Amino acid sequence: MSTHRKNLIRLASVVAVILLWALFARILTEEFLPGPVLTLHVIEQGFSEGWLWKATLTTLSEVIPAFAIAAVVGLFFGAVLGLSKMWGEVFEPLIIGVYAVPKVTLYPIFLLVFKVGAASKIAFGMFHGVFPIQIIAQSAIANMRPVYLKVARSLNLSPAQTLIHVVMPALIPALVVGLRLAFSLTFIGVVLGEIFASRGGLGFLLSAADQTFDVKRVNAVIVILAVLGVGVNLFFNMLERRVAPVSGSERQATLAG
Amino acid sequence: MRVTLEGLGKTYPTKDGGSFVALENVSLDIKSGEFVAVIGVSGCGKSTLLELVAGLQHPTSGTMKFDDVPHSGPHPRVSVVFQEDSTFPWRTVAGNIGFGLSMRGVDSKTRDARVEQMVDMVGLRGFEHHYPHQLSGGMRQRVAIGRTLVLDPGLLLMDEPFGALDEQTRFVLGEELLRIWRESGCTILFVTHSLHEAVQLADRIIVLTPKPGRVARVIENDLARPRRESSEPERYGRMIGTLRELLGFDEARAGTRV
Amino acid sequence: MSRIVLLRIAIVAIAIAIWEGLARAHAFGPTLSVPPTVMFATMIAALLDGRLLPDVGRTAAEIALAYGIALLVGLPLGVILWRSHVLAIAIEPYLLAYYVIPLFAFYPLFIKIFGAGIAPIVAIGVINGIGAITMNVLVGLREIPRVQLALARSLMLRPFQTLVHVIVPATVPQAFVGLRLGFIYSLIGVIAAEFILATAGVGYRIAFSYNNFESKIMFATILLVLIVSIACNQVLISIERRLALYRRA
Repeated sequence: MSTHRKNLIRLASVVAVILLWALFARILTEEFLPGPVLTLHVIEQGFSEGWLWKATLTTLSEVIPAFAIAAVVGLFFGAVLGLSKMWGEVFEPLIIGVYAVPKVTLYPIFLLVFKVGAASKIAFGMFHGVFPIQIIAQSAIANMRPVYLKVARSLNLSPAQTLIHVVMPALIPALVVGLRLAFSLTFIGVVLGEIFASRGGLGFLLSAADQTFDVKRVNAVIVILAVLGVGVNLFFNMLERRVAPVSGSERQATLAG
Repeated sequence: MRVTLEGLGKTYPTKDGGSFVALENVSLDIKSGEFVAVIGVSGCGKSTLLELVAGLQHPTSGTMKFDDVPHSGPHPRVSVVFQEDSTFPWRTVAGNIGFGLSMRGVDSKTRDARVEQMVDMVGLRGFEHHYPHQLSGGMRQRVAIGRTLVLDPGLLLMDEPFGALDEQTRFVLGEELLRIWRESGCTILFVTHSLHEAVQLADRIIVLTPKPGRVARVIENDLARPRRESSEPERYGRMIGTLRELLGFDEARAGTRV
Repeated sequence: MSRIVLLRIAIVAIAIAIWEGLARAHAFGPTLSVPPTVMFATMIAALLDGRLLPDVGRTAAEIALAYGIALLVGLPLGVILWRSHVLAIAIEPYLLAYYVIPLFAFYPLFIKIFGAGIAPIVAIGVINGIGAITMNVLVGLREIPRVQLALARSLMLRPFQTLVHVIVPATVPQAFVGLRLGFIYSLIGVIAAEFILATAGVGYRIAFSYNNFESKIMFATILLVLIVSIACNQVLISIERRLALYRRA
């Protein structure tokens, strides 16, 4: 099936759901379930009145640092555990064990340590995002093709040259996948944190709107969350496509699912 | 470059506390500009020998001299072509070929000029800006050869470089290699398990036998180039036969070896 | 026991010991300095005297329900998507969205549709788990080696025989990955939802004790959740590994 036809189906599917949404809004009355047009109107209002814009900025101001820290920490430990086969093996089930735990149960600890400000959301978000990066980085480094290092040695490259000109380029495709997954998880973690205990941000807005039965605002926040999440992901997907075929990477097992 | 190996040996410690002798007492004198092949069955230590000369491993005994100067570790005028695909997928053909020059700090003008030359020498004109994944296995090995040759090595080490390729490509690349060898004048040490390849390419053929790896015999190959089975079938066939015997192939019929 | 396993145990033991020491020295402040031994003791006590049992029971029921529904809907959905190329493509945009949007954010809508009570909590558990189940069943089906299906045709097997002897065995290892992840994610979804939507259940208990500064019972409940989820995951992983042995490399 041609890509063109596939895109048509995807587009039709999204349009169909939006139409269904509008239909349900009609049937159940817009008081109960605001439709797409009304929601867009509320979003526009939210930005001009400032409350939606402010919440979005607050959330982003937490997500971006959380993601950055997760990336650095994850890369570091991924490198350390990837370079040492033994320590990598020692820690692997420990890390996978923590990964399977409902991280939300640990959120109160974050709150007690960092208090109810932005720091607890950043820490909590980072806690979500660090795992995929660490796991993927470790795997990519441990499985890097040994011949690349042989070439570096035969050319007598310094460790710095080897790292910059051989190791990093070899790892980039896998790392981009890791960063994409990490961003999604960090984003979700931050928003979750905001829903439970926060004074601002999109999660807080959602929770407040729910408590005041303001369905219009609820819908508006959901749409913004969707746009943000999907938008950034599409960006990373584009990055992946640019980097992957050139580097002919084997497909790393995605943590999807 | 002249290469002298004296009593070279490599022993590995095994898990149960014992030791495994991969190579024992290998002594060779390779003259400058010679094309020498090393053949032997699996496990005879030919790849180990290559890695020792390449400086990728350290010998447990013996010495190596390059142009009469003792040396250990990777030598700046020694280059290696590996059996598996060693091209960097994130660099173009030109980028790959120029990699060694970049790392050695050669300025971009000189580097680009030499890369251009090399692209022609290895027969990849028109593909300079392609990426390895767009090329066939044989072309990728040409890139690897180009990357090593552009550094103007005195000694070129090749570890079964055509091993992963089909027979047709192997033959063509072998002929290409001979042409490149004549044009560059470097010394070549070529490891292979293919008897025909050794006879086709080399001036001297070193036969290694395993357990422990040591030199069984050195055969002078004075067949006239280009070497075709059809032009001197008797002498060619006799040489192959000698090699087979040295490697113990015919004993297999008696069931004494795998 | 191999050196590696011993190292793992040592690392965990040392970490717990350090935490114990620091907590006893009140290094984390009054509320946070609960030593692991006290956490564990409180947890056992609360289980034995029944304090935690209503919450555990409630959560277990919600997880069972959520996972059950996720299986009932997710398994057939995976098969449907395998059979219909068009549907599989149509669903792709939602697949992308599924993993990147906090699905949790739909909770106000769930409350509207299902009312208060356990329904929205179960709904969030279902939504969290169903993705992994469906996708892994789909991947498993897609990755059945064509040669095996060709063999079935050449042996003129009836559809039912092909299903039982070729399709199911080939799909099981990958499908089981989905079953495991689906369970874990349903569990995570339910407990997360309990944090704000519930009036009982372990998630609720943790949130409640946090809000009331009852740190001992809070840590005890957190510990219980950690132990149970890690244990479940390990058991499921070992089954998954055994199934994976039947896969082609």
